[in-house]
Amino acid sequence: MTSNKSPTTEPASTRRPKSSSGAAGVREFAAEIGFARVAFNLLVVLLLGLLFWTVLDLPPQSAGLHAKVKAHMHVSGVASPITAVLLNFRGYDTLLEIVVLLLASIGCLILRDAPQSHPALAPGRPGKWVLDGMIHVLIPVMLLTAGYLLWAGDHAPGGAFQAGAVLAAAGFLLVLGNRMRFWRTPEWLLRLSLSFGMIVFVLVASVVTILTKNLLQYPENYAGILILLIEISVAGSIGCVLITLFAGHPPVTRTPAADQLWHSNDEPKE
Amino acid sequence: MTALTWIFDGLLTAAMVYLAWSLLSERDLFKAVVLFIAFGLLMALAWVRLRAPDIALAEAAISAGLSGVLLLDAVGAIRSPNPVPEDTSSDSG
Amino acid sequence: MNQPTWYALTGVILFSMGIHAFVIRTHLVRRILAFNIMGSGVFLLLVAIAHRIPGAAPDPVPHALVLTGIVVSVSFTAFGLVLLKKIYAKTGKTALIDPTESTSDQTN
Repeated sequence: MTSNKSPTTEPASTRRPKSSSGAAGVREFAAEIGFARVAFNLLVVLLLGLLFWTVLDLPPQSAGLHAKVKAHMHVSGVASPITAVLLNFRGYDTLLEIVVLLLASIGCLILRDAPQSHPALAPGRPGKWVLDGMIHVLIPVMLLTAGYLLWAGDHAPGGAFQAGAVLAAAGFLLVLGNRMRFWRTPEWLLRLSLSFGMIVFVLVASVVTILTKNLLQYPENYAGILILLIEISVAGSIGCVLITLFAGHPPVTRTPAADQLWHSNDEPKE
Repeated sequence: MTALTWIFDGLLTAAMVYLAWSLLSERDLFKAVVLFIAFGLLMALAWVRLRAPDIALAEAAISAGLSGVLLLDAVGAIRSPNPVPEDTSSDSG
Repeated sequence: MNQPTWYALTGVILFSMGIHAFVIRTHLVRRILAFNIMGSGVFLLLVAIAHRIPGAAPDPVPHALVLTGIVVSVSFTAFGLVLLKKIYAKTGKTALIDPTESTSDQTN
């Protein structure tokens, strides 16, 4: 697959304006900054040595926070220590992480050009059948997996991030297969789905902060259900954000020639 | 048993360092991204060896899967001979 | 030297390689790749040193931090690639510092 790719990519890479690869211009440039480069290499080696020494010099034992987490597991509302840390003990980390994701998707939406669909495989291409088959077979399994991961997060490896990633992967497949017309999504729905996780999280955080007088301290009896509520909405939003980052800014429309170059492994049938 | 796990750990870390090195010095961007996906999968294995299955799941799904798709997509986009901003509807299908 | 230390040292090597490539390379996709390698090195180090606590199970707090970090790094990667595509669409360049001083066919 990749081997018969390389010959066809050569023309593209030579036509490509820059590329830090081997061109003579790069060598001239390197000669110009030769001294700085050598100095920088030395600096990196020095950094490597320093970090090596630091790691080997670390005390072999450290109290860590394991004991504290273990001691408070009973009030966390979940059985998995990592989920407890993520959504209860250090819930503000996760809250801010959702904000970072939201900002990334907002940045992506700010930069978008005129509505444009993601280039899809043309119906005649052999790869199209593979993609269609994958969509039929995999999408239900992926949704099931996402649901399972969300449920498993309570007591085993899994949780909102993993579930959100699987949802996003399903979305990528749908976008590539042209089943999900991202640009046809109504604006309000797009905005709501991107911010839904954060809205729910902030609402829960505000309510429990008012009730318990402590930031993000869930009442013991409701911790489990509140975490589940947050996890479901956050997983959905992570999925939507990642799909937006993928589909919200489709690649510059390729000319048919470039498209053929890229898909040079499939024989164009049309 | 311990000798075997040491050999496994040694091979795994060596493969990770080698993959990282070759993907960072690879000339062909497409190959570099494919190597990066492989690197992500080895990272997932390393997380399992470090008894962090949560991170292994996230790494396999996110780093190897989603980042790989995004990078391949971008590399495909910048490989087009001419940037054609805006216009042109290639909405095929 | 035990197993976590071994992985911590691997993380250090990956970080150094990443920071080296991040500075040396000019192509933005390579920089994003280098950034991801750097991140992987840091995560590896963080989780490996979480094993230093006495007892069987590793410390869950660094694990949670790394989990958050992975998701943040994918959103960084995605946003960086969006910016890259935008730069390419506007100028035809894929590097901010351009050693070859290439001509661009579309400049805004």
